[in-house]
Amino acid sequence: MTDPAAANPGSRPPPAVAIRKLTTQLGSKRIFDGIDLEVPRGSVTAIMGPSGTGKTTLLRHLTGQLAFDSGRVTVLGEDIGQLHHEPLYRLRRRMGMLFQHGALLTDLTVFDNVAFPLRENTDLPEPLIRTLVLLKLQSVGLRGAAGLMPAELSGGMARRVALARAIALDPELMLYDEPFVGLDPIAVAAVVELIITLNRTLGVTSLVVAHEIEHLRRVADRLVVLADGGIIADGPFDQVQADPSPMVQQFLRGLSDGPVPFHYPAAPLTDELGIGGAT
Amino acid sequence: MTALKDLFSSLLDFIQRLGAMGSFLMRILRVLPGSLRRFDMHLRQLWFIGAMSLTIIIISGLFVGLVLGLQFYSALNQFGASGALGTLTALSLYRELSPVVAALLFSGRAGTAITAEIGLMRSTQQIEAMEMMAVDPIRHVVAPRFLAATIALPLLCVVFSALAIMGAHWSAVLWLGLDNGTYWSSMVGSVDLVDDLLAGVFKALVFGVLVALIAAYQGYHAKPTGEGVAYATTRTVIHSAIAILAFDFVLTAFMM
Ligand SMILES: Nc1ncnc2c1ncn2[C@@H]1O[C@H](COP(=O)(O)OP(=O)(O)O)[C@@H](O)[C@H]1O
Ligand SMILES: [Mg+2]
Repeated sequence: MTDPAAANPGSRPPPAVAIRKLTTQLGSKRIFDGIDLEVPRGSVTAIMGPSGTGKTTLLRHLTGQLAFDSGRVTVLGEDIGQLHHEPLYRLRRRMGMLFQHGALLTDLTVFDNVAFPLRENTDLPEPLIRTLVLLKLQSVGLRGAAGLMPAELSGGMARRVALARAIALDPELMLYDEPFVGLDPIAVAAVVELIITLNRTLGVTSLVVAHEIEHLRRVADRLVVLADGGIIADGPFDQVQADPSPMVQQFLRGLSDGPVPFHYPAAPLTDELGIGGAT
Repeated sequence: MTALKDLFSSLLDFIQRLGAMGSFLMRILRVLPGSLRRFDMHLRQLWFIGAMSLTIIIISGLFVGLVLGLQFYSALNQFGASGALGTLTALSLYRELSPVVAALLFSGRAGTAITAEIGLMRSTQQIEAMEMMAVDPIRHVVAPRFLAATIALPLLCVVFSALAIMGAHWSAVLWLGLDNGTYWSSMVGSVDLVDDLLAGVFKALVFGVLVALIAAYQGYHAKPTGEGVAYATTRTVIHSAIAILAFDFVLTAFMM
């Protein structure tokens, strides 16, 4: 939430993420239709949108795991569209991603999962790795679970271990894909605290995809709403929540019908059931 | 006309899939030398994959041998040629039966396990997570399994032969009364180490590459759902069986 640009308005540092005219087509579906988005370094941005709009897809573009059709995506100063193999891996070492389902390696213990990125990407001696891993686990409150296997963890614990693993290499950019889903209130509070702490103390830039506006409000200072292949709202929370656009209002208030249809396209119910309407 | 078109498009499809597998193989081979630095990973996989298939190879080898002893004895005895039983058993095992049967069993036991394991890692986003941690999953997950399967099958093929020869000895000598000395001497006398035994082991090596490639490819490219992994596992068995039998024909034709 500390924006370096605000402290020093004269020189704007390059943004952590810059997206220009991004278009993506998956199968027959147009996911993005020329979106522009800029995320300043050190900020926390919340991304919301109906499911299936492409929030996960957007994160996968940022990590270079999914190619886009046209446009330009710059992450931490690197043009993602131009990166392959080793340079792409080098960039990924500077970012962390929390997956929707944790994605812990099932054949490794909690400790070895968190140690994995350190062992694979650094030449640190084992005692130092041990210290780092225990510190990361401590920060998610699971140092005591170091010896457990992923199968022995609850959903909330697995997510927190995954978070510890994602921050093992001290990333500059963190991407969270639905970090609150399926967590009990205590685990949610822990994740919220962690996102805030990472940002305030280490200046980690964060993008948080989620549906829980009340949690997002606590961690983020800016809300971006995706729908229909574009960004339909972007700004501080209060401003977006006051947005008069019917689409934004429908989404934020959870009204089931409006410009975004609740019903999948179908013939009228009366026709399908063969009752009434036969005039 | 449409049948012809269908045939043509499925042929194109087939060639495309072969191309994709070829480039997958290239990706594996490219990272293999680098991944050898992590020798413990390879050793662990070799242990898993080899030990996992050992039981079924031992049991099947024994039974195949028992049956060969019975069949050959009754067939050869009609011509008074039961003295050639040892030769015939050893040659048919070394050249043909051991590599093919061991490979088919191996694809059902180890191949499916490799597909399911990699497919499950894909469907639970473990593969993606590795990519995000700047670790190449081909190098870390696929290469060790590929190499282990390639090494394990020739070894299992030899085990299969040994057990089958024991089985044939059991049924022909111990039950049907063939002379023990005749059995062994006819076997040793007319079997060439290079032409027969090593030729079979070479076949097994080729089959090992095939099964390993198909299993890893199917797992890696499985649809990331439970259903997708189940389909991929089935395809591993079918594609392996076809590939083993087709390559067996080609290799046999060349080695004759
Ligand atoms: N690899 C793919 N091929 C085809 N369609 C895909 C692929 N990945 C995702 N989709 C589709 O793209 C849309 C957006 O998916 P996703 O980004 O996961 O949505 P969200 O995370 O916002 O719920 C969905 O309709 C999904 O079915
Ligand atoms: Mg999603």
